[in-house]
Amino acid sequence: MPQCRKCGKKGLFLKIEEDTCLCLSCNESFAQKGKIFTERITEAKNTASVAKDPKEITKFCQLVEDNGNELLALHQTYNLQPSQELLDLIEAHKKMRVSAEEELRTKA
Amino acid sequence: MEAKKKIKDMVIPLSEYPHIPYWGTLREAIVQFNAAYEIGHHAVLVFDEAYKLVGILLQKDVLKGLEPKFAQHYEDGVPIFWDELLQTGSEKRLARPVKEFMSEVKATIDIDDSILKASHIMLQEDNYLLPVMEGDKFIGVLRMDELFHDITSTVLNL
Repeated sequence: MPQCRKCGKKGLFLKIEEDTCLCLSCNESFAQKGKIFTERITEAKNTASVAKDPKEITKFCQLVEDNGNELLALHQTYNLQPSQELLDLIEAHKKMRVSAEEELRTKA
Repeated sequence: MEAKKKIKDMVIPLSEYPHIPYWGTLREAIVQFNAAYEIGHHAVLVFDEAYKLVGILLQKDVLKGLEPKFAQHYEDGVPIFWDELLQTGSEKRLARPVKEFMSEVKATIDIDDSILKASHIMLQEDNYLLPVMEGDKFIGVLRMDELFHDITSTVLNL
């Protein structure tokens, strides 16, 4: 019998989203919250990619990490596995931030 | 014939490309294309609300999105009033979400596959960018540019 992995609702005719195994209502709620973080992540990521100043790079990489971690936490709340793309993105921006911080220290 | 490099030597990490959510507009995507143009990336990767890769926006997709709908049926030449139409309807088209124009991720290549297999898939799918998987994880993309240089230099040295 289909069961939602977030709210535990189950029923023979309960419609479950194939990708997430969530009922339509939980899936919609996850999507709405996820959209906010995804928008913030993409905006910060794209700005960090073209930034030249190490201070700017540090700031926007930190934003990617923070919002990425919020999105990871949201996944956990809904009992979902985060995508590898998200994990890699956070890791890549952590490295980028550390390297920009080192550059700042060297300059100072 | 064996190509010099492996796919893993040519993979470009996903983080190097500009990203956009699938509900982002064509205008936002074009801004990202222009920003990435200088570093030689000609695609924008499209993600969903769980930050899963759901598509790739290529230059041809953007041009298709900008083209007036009726003009897509013209096979011979371009109508005289084309320029005017491109200007008048463009605001509306620029506000449409990229999910309407993006190329969905249909074909992928495994990191351990051969370069010739990657080339074959690109030709079959008419794509110059192919997502690379390691098991069931996306690890980056493979461009036709790198593939082309590797295959052609191998052929010339035979």
